[in-house]
Amino acid sequence: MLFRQLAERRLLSPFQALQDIQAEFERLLAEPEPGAPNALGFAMYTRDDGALLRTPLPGVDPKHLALEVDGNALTLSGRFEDEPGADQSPAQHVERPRGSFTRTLRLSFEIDAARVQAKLERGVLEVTIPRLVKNPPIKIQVLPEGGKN
Amino acid sequence: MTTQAMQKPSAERVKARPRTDVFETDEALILVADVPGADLDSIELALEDDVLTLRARSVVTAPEGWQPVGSEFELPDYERSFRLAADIDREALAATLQNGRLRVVLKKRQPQTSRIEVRVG
Repeated sequence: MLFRQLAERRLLSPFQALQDIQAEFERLLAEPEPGAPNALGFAMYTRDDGALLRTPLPGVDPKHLALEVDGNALTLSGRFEDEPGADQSPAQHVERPRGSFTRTLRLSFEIDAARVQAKLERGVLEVTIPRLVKNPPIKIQVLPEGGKN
Repeated sequence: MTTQAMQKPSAERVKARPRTDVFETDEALILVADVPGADLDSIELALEDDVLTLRARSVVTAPEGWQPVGSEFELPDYERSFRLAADIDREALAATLQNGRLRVVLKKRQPQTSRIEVRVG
């Protein structure tokens, strides 16, 4: 639609077309698409044994995602790739994110790094973050008199 | 962060325009739209005259057994229409969905040339 409008106006005035392109860029930078979920927005859930994080990462290849744990911090980094063949035919209209990203989440508990699990389904990343239990409760048997069971 | 359920009944859900890139080659128009949370069955593409309408619905539900504590996003219903400037071959529409990214290829109708034989009268 934009292109048709631009093409029609270009016939009238080349300067108008340039102004339209600039205005469209400013609009894209100023206003995110209303209601569209922000890539890398976080949704958090908790329960006694840890937390669960969800974030929309549409189009991101799992090979281009990395998760790192340091104490109570979880760092997610990756890259939004361009479309294959985009170098030959660059996009004429761009709204989707491009390039690298990093975001760190600090939790109120220490993370059990060895048990963190992540899956990427339908463009939504879900990370299960277990709480590290340093000294798990142990049951102490009380012996009867005489010290034998 | 606000506290929101991942999925609400459809009447209450946000309707959003999916972020979309447009590519154009000599042969086709290609639309690439982000529809995180949507599955293939929820996607509807309709071409009427020169308007392509895309609809999709997120099927991701809140995780069971977990307490929501905050969310910076909501997975919505998606809807957007595109007025196509090119003459599209209506029999050759193709769409694929991978990792929440919908890719629609609309092949352009190629101008038909016909050879006219000229005879000497």
